[in-house]
Amino acid sequence: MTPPSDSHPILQVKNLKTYFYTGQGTVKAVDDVSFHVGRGQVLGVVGESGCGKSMTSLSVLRLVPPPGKIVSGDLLFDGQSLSGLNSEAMRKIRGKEISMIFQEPMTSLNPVFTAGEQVAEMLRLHLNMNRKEARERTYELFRLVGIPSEEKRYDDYPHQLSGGMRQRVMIAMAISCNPKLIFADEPTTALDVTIQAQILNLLHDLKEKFNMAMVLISHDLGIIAESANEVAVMYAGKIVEYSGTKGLFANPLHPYTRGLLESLPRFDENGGKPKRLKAIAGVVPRLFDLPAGCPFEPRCPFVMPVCKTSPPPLEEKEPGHWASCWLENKH
Amino acid sequence: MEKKKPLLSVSHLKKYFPVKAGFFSSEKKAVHAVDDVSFDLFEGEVLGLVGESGSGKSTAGRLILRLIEATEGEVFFNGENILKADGKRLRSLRKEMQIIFQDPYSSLNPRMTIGKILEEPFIIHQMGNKAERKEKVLKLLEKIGLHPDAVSRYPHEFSGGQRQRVGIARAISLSPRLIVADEPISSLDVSIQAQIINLLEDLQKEFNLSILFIAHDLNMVRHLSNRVAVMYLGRIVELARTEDLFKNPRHPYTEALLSAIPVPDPEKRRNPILLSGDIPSPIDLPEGCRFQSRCPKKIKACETNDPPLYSINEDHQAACILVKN
Repeated sequence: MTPPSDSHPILQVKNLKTYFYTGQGTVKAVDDVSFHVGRGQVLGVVGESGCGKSMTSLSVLRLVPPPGKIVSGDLLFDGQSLSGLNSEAMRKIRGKEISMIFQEPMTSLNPVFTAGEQVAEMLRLHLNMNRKEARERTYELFRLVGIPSEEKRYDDYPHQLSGGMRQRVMIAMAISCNPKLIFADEPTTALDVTIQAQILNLLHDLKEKFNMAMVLISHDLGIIAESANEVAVMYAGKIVEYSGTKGLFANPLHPYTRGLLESLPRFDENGGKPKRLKAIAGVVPRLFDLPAGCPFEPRCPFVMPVCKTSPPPLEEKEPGHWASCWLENKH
Repeated sequence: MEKKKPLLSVSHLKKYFPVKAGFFSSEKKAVHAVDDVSFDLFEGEVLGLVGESGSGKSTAGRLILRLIEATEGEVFFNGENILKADGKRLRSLRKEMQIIFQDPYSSLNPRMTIGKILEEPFIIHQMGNKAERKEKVLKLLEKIGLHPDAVSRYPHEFSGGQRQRVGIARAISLSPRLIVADEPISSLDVSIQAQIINLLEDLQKEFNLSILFIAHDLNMVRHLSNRVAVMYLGRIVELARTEDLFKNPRHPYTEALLSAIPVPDPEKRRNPILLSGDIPSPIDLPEGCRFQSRCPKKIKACETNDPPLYSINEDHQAACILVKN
């Protein structure tokens, strides 16, 4: 049950399990997740809060907060295993080869350092630049990500910048060492629509320019449709559907994916009255008290007896299109 | 919507928040959160109010309910200027106008059971005896689709979507005529948002509610609203019937906003109009048109002219000099 793989992916994740051991029981935040990211490609990860999409990226970066632990799994980055690396070696990769853009730029920037210093620190740490070189390069990076009057902004503290500008600083930091892979975790969720369009456009341009691969985590199906080459849909710690973007949106196979797409408002081009939304019934499950069979079973409109007893494996239902559902492609 | 008297009529509403310019400075500055806003809301109508953070849409909603006091302007509810109402009158007016908050986590008292939360409005307004109130609470729970068991449970036992249902039940409990829904779905999971929108839609039809629907999810606004007002830096810059606004936006800001909505269809390529720069500070407003610093269609006159809302037709207005010409 390994989803498709090309010959030299930049990142290959196999059977990743990240569990949290809490007083209320074991939370399987990431439960046997496998995927790969091709060079220069964008993998979109869709899911709701608590589905494990953020924890998957933190696991690859080996930044899982306690009481979480990577229980098992292989992480291959550029042919090299990350699982065996000690924390010193991992630190050299993190930020340099693989970097991350977080959702809330206010809390992920350090409030007591200026925006410029934080970017320059990366350059001095990973590329051994001296202060002056790092400052010059930071100006360049600021220009690259569209921060106007870069020399002034260098000395601004994060609170003096707008949300969009802070996110640009985060992006400048993330691309500062020419990483091969970027994790962008809801990079525009805290931003307004017009600013979101600017940032997505910028990410797209940078990706093309430097041939970076990206894992784009979002709950917004619109953003995923526009930016991703492949999509993994996550639900309750598992990938439930995995496919090329066009295939996923044209022919969603998992009832959860179908439900998500159908719950979006649709508009009649002739100005007819909007139809009632098709909502997915029920609530998002709590991870420490999951059903024995398929995690989506309590909300699924197509539930069958087998769904209640055994979890469906992720299978290739159509070439390059994987889904974990007991239904045989016929909804 | 045929010609009727509006249920709510807002006229030249302003709210300035003073800011300290500096310890020794005598200069007086203010955030122009809501700066001369006028609109009508009719009986049984859903008016969408959209705009980016800081555009003043939430402040406008709160001013209308007098949760904060206006600096200037008038708000007529059913013909009565409620900004002049005294405390006693205001209390009875609150039966008719209610609010649904954005965050269902902080808007429910964690120490009160759902039953107590829903009973409280009836106690405050001295309606019914204990048994009658209990029955009303149970009816409300049924209406919003929660199990009667919820009465004795606490907010933390419920998910975000269920809590938002409680927030909605509380808002409709006294059969109000007007509801201000302030970003009611933006903190909910995608698969839950449609449930809440459907619930609001059902209740709106059943009680012929007038709703001021404040949101930044433009697709949901389009789905639910009869008319839409677009705010930018404290002003309404465009106001029109929903389909008219989405198909034929006339203000350059509305155009950019609509073009920036991501479309969940990889086969459809859109070309967002990318605005340069950020929203200017509402403290130091630009002279002339507020949007000129980012406007792709700016002409010389925009630097000096602050455009009012020009009528394009009876139902469509936009605050742009290009519309006038």
